[in-house]
Amino acid sequence: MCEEKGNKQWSRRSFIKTNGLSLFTTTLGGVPSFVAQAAISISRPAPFQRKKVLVCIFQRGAMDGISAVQPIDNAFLRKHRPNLVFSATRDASRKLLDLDGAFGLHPELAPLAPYYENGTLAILHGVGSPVANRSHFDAQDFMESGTPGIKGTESGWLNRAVGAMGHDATPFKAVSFTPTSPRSFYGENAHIVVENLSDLSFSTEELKELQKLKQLYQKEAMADLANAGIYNIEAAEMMASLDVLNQPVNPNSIYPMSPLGMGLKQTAKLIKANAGLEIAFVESNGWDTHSRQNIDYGGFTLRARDLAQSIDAFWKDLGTLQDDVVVMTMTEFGRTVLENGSFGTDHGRASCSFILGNSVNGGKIYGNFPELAFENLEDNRDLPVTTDFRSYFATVVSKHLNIDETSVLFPDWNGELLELFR
Amino acid sequence: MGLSENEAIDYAVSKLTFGATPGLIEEIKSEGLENWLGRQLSLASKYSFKREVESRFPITKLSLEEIAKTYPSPGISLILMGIKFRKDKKFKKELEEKLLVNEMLATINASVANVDRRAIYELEGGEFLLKYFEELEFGNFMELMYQLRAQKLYRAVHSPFQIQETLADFWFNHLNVSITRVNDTAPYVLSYDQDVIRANVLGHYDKMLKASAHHPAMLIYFDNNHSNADENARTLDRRKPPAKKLLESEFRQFLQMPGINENYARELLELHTLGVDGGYTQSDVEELSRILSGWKVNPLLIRFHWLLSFFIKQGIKKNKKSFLQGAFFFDSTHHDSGSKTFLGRQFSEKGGYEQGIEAIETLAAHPSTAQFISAKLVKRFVSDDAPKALIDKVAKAYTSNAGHIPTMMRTMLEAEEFWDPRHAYAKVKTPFEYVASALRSSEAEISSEQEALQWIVRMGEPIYAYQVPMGFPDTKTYWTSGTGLINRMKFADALTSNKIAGIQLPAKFSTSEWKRELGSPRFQKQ
Repeated sequence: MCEEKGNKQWSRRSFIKTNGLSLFTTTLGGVPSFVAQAAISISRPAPFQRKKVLVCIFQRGAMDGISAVQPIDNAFLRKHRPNLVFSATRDASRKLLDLDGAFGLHPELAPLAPYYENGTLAILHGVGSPVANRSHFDAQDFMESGTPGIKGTESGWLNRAVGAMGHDATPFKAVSFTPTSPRSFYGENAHIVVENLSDLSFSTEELKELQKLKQLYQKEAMADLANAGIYNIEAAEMMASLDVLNQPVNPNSIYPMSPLGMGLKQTAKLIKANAGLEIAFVESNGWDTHSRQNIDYGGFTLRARDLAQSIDAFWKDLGTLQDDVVVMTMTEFGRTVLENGSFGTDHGRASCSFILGNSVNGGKIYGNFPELAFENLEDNRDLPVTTDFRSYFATVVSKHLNIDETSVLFPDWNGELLELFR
Repeated sequence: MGLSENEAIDYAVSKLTFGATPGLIEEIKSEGLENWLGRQLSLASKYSFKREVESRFPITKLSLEEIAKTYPSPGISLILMGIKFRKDKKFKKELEEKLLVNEMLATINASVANVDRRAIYELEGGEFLLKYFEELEFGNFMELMYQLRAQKLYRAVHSPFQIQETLADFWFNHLNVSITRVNDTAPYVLSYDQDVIRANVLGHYDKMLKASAHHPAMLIYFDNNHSNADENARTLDRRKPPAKKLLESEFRQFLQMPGINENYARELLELHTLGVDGGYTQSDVEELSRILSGWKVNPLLIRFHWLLSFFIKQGIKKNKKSFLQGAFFFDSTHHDSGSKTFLGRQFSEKGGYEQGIEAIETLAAHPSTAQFISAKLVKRFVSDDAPKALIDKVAKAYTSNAGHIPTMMRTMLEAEEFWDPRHAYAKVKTPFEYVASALRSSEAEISSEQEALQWIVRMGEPIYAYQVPMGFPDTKTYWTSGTGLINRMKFADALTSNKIAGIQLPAKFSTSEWKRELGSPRFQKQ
């Protein structure tokens, strides 16, 4: 099969080793010394295995976690968010989906319910940053750099994760389906930023031209440039030889035409083509729901629908490849427990996250969710952060990608891992 | 020196400009390299290209105040619209039925990233906003973002004063701010580029640094606009807490509350002056942030209703030691007036604005600053492995000429280390340098910069949009990671087959040989 052939070719490439090594050593120069120190301590490469894939969905704007996964029939919420609560029993068309008797899923998230029921979807409630900061810009910065409270960190945590995996890889090891590099990917470990994979696709004739260029790069004396040129051209060759763009889509997978849906659709193509993808990053924008968030065309309604339909389409599309994949969602903070004057919510603290995978110990809601009362809220207004996002991120990369040295990803953090996986 | 005159010209052009053009090489040959370099660094040439830029990009003619009033950010536009038409029933109804604010703001963020020029009212669902925008006389904010980026490419490609262009690129990146903060920093970045950076690239660094410290783009980007004396600290003028009603309103996030924000002070030390190992402590960061507390943006930069503006102005006037100076606001009621010790120097209990000036001047004159900045400059213009001897020479020139940038450049160009052929083609071009040099050497006719800018973004350099304070890394490793190169090869194909809208190459460059040249390793280096 061409997939097999493609991959063998890749694992043989000696230049990739060289490239990886030179990238790794030079990376240290640009990283704060504490990160560099930690990076040096990882020297053992992980044993070769069929590659696991982590798909990160960043919900920019701060998802209202209490709307996504609501306490059922809660008097405090009925009183203080009268326009945002759903009933689990009444109103058949817009009904809260009872998960465990205590919490229910927002009606627009219904496509995710079957995964919770079959035990592959876990929910983590009360997750957020240890640093109380309600600015989107800062909170995203802290979450993506992996260093809450420190703005000077140059690299992103996912880029450090790429470096920490410590094995040979293809150019498609880490791909962000965004117009520009997300903060999480900042750093000098090789990665791809591409909104549309067709940007990397060339005609047969153009590929022949690239062969000529490749010869020039093979003769190039500047190692970084030579490696990068060959690496890039081989990425284009892989696109063609693995026929990435023409990977069939499961007809039952109806992807929304959103950046999230399109990103996940392309993620699935890379996985199906066995292109060596290990970390994918996709974005869902528009969660900053200050007003009328729950009406038919409200911000939360539309985004939640997009999120659930996209993930559902993606998961169905993967078919038997699901075993290799974990999807995790993240958002910079949650929103006020109280609804504001315009049927929306303002910037808060903790939100919730979804983790989907066959290795996930799902069908459960993790984390601490306090009895809702003013005295239990942070600053009398917000769901308190009871799980540091670093515990969550570290757990996923450790259990799924086998990166144990989480101090590289999250310097200054030595918290506990969670029990999210089987 | 080891270089012939022709080689020296090629070398200088590759290091100091955005790439060769046949005309440029001829120009230098006839003028003489030394004369040409001297003229490039002379003040006389400072504004000579302004007229061309202004006629093509009219927004560059506007002052900061005019831009703030005409091109408010999407978020601010919506807020001001809400205030202005709050009693207009038709407006309210349309807003309710048609506008999905967060959908729209998400689209706008994506449009900024993609160099889209369409106005908010040209986006789907936003059409009804047109008449309100017209009534408020708001311009197209996206056009402001476009012209900001296009003017940089236009200048890089066409300006005869190339060293000023490469210097402007370097110093902006050194004192980086970013339009990724779409709703607060972004509208002011064009003015920052012109009034802080370009106005000073042939001047003294301390002046550029002071200009940046007073500029709204910098004050907002690093949160100094919300850096206020701590709750228990003594302030220069008496502080009045905001009304309870305001505290409970949706505007509470905009209120000025007690509490120092160290962000700017830290980066001023670490990134703008001394460097991370330049000899300062956490206590210096804290003391400097106290010294700079109350340095803010003039709140009247935003066009409020005249009555509100009047009250704001009166409020400021009441405080004897507060003042407005252009876009800058010194807020005495939030300035910590206690005594401070910064870098071993005592700052007396009288406090005040002048202490900030003194602190910044001290930093600019510090030997660590000379060393740190010279190392970056040499790295930018010579090699990633900047020769130590050359750095020391440039640092010495910095110190003995009060941070005079042309003197630093002249010192670098007079040093034999600069002309060492080992440094020839030792650096990898950034995507911006790559595209600019490809357009220059292809003798491209350019009627629109938009698609070229989109290519630069795709190659990995969203200019003016690097979110992190330290600016784009200046290393060949950074610019060769990722898939930038394949996009350069694709660009070379599109350019030479004249498939880029707004750009036309003459026949002699529309060839597959030239395409290969533009995609080759040689063309990626400088």
